[in-house]
Amino acid sequence: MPSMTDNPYLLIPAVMLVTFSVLSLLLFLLYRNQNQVLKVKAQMNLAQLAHQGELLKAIIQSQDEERSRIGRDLHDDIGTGLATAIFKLQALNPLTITSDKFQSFQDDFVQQIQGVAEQVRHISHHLAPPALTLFGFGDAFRELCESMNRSGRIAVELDMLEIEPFRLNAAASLALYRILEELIQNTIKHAQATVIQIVFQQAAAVLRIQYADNGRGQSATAQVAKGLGMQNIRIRLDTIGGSYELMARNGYQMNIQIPLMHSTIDHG
Amino acid sequence: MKHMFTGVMVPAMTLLPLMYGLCRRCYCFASCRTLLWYLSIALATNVIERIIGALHHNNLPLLHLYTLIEGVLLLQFYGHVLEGKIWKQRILFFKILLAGICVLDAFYYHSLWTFNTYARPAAALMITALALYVLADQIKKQEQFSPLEQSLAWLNSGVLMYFMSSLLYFSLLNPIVRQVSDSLWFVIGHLHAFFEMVMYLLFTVGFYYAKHDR
Repeated sequence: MPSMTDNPYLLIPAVMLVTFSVLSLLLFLLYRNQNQVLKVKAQMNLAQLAHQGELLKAIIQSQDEERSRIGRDLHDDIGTGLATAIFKLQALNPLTITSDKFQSFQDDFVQQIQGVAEQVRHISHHLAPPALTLFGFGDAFRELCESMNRSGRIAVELDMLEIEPFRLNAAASLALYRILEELIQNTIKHAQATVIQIVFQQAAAVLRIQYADNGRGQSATAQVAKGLGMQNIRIRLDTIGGSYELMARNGYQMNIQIPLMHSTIDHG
Repeated sequence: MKHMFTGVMVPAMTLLPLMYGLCRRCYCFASCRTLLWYLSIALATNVIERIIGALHHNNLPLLHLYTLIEGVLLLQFYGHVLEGKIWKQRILFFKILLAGICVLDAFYYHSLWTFNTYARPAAALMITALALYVLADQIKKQEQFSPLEQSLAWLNSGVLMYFMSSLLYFSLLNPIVRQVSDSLWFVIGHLHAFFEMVMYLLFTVGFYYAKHDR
């Protein structure tokens, strides 16, 4: 059998063939790998788009629900209150009324209008809590917790001692206020809890909030996890770069983390 | 017909990318237009080469001329592909260098009547280097395009596979012709023709995607 040394020129087609084969394989693997990377990226983009779509849907739903609630409040409270006042005013006959009756009417009418004014204040307070802009997040949230405690529906234990004096900017304050307000509402509506504990801690440039109640726990709140309220919480956290995790314990516990960065702190 | 594949089939295969590229109006792209010129000249050279060969005359002077034209056209192709003034200057330098090597090879190192085993590998080396650079550049920009849908990836792969695989063949043509047996010459010739055919097929796919990239 002839060996390769008998005809060194046999190496030429061998080398040509090997070069071609190696190059073909290399290009094939390279392009296949690139295509796979692109496919994964395309899938991730699609998932991100779907997520953004869901968020947008939640925002629109939330806005619609808020509009409905404001409309209902205006109609039921303000509209009814003003209609009653108008009715009372129309029923007044200045020719026959005595001074005693007029005094009684006046007191009643003023009380009626004050009731309407109180409702207006309540609605506007709900839309944009004035304490938030006047005194900042800390005081506004304390006021909210105190009003919850005064209502007697639930006891809110608030611990904000470990927070260094800082002011969240208006957008971050409102977002955090709404998130906690939503959590409190969820607890009241779904958890059958008696106590809510909220602890604020600040470590380096991160604000940590531990929200816990002694209610029915994750299984009860899991039902509302995909609800509009929770979607609102996610959206608001996204806007301030925050994140959350649900902890396994008796009752319900959510740990929220908000990075204290340039876009969330008030520099004024 | 012992040389049916190398002498007829593969040269005729030039028509496939050429016709397909023309039908799809790929000449609208400067880079594809250059390749269409290259394919036209390759086809014409093959036909003339066959005629001269059939008349039992030495057709190697044609190869010297073809090497220069082929090299300049493929360098021009990469001149269109690689953007920036610096690349225009580099490509111009390569063209002048290649022309110099071709002249020296034809009139000084070898003669017009033998294979140009310095000029052709030199051209192949330049083209291979540019093809590898474009490939590396494409890998770097992998997020921006899908290689399986991009015309340049196919065209560049064709050029790279043919010229890199045939480099040894181009370099050793003179000793091969003189010293190898007919059967081995047959094998080597067929291998080279096969690589050429692969390049034409990849060009065809490249022209197909050129329309999509528009």
